[in-house]
Amino acid sequence: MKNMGTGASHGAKTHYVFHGRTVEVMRPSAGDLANARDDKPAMGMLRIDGRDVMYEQTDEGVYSHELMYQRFSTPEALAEELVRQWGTHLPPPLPMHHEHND
Amino acid sequence: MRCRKNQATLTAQEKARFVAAVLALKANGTYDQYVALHVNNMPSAHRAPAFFPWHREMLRRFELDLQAIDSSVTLPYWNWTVDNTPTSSIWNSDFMGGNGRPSDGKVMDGAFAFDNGNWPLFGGGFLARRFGLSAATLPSAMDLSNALGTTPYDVSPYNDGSSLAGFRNTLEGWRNGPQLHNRVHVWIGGSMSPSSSPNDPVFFLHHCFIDKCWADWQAMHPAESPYLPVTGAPAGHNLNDAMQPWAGQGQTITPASLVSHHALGYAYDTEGVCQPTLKLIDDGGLKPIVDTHITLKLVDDRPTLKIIDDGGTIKAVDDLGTIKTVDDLGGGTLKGFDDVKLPTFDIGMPAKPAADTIDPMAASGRPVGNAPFVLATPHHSMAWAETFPGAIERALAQLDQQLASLEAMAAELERRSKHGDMTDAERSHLDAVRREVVGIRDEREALARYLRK
Repeated sequence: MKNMGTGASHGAKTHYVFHGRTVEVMRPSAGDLANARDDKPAMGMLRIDGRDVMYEQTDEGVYSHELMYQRFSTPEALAEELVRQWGTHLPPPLPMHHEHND
Repeated sequence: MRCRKNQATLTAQEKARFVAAVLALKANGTYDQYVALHVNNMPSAHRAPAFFPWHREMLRRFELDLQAIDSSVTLPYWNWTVDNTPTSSIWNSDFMGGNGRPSDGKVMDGAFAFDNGNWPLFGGGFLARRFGLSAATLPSAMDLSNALGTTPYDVSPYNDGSSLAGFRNTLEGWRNGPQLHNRVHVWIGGSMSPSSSPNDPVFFLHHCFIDKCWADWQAMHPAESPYLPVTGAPAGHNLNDAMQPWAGQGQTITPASLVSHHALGYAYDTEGVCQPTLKLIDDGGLKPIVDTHITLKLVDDRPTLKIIDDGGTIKAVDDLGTIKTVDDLGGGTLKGFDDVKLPTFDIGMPAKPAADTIDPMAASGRPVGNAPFVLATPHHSMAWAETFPGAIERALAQLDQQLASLEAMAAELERRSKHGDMTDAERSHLDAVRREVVGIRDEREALARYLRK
């Protein structure tokens, strides 16, 4: 991983290239992280070759609906796992808020 | 009660019918509603106590929808501790299809391969799998056994904490994760990784096994609360909370209402209620297997396989000296053992446990338990009899009893015959009883002759 980011903590934005993909990490603010709880996580976002991926962060770790059965130690670890899973494919964003109609 | 089966035991036809029903739900739009249900209700269904009941409700609805397409279908479960390699039969092209190709994970075979035209994903894209890319192995039997041994059901604060040591959090897979349930999703990878994981139909086989694990855990720990907590968890996760999204649709589905899978109308093939339940039971009526004067029947009355006579003693052979594997009614006299005129088994002795169970050795005419060795010729059997003083006398007494019983039965049948109210089956039965009387008289005479010598 080649880190080209600023390393700042407040709303920090990092970008780097991993396996040919451009990864941007938009972290939650330090204030959001400090106030994050299990039922109110801090929100961050990844952008991988232009594809947005939302993530949540608590003191337990980093979660995303895109890889929802894993907990990551950092947003970068999440991004790199996504790149490995996708391979040469860039899947469409998750279709949220389509209600189930019984 | 419908029985959910291990997918590894399904016949080719059962697999085909399951796949066809799933494809039909996809074609009519129902399938994608389940994917949407999962995507849009993550907090209701994961990382908290309602993980098990929420998915139980989802799977039960899905199964009922499948059965509306094909009533013979039940949800199969995938025991990933056993069928745990990329070459396991679950991944054959006649069922779930296999791993994805290396470049992008696209599944290329089976009914759910995108290129076959029947399986566009909810949200777009193609079905993808990445076996072992992010988790090298599936959970082991030991992993599962340890989880099933964990109590209680859940512990405060009822979330996904790494150190939270309740059964739910352990089996969901957040303790030092990904483990167990989570690890299976991660091992498959591809479309099983995001919240839209029901896009892969193997999701339902995986969660069917997870559901079975909850049922098994309850059976293993009858003194434990099958669900916790009653209060103290987030809304929707307490025992009597209405779960989303059904609450928003006016339906009160609570964890409490889902604790018992039997109450929902299904069981698993490892449970007694789903076991084969053939018995041989004498009730004096139909389909004799070994018919003497009594009429042994093959009857399914659950829950155990037995041979039962109507005298209260369970036997695999008769004790009249004529071990038979085929009824000699109806003119035939096929027997598994020579119709020696001597007792071959347990004559006059109380039934022994070893003699009270079906034993292929007994059916073959060889002795079981501590019964004496049976010799194949009358000469040798006579020699054997001499080593058991009193055996012939006891056999004669039993034959006398049986003759009396048969003759009484014949008399009753003949009385009915005279009144002209017999069925063809009963007339045939009367003929059989008459032949049996003749046969037993012959046997008795042979024994008596030997005794007189």
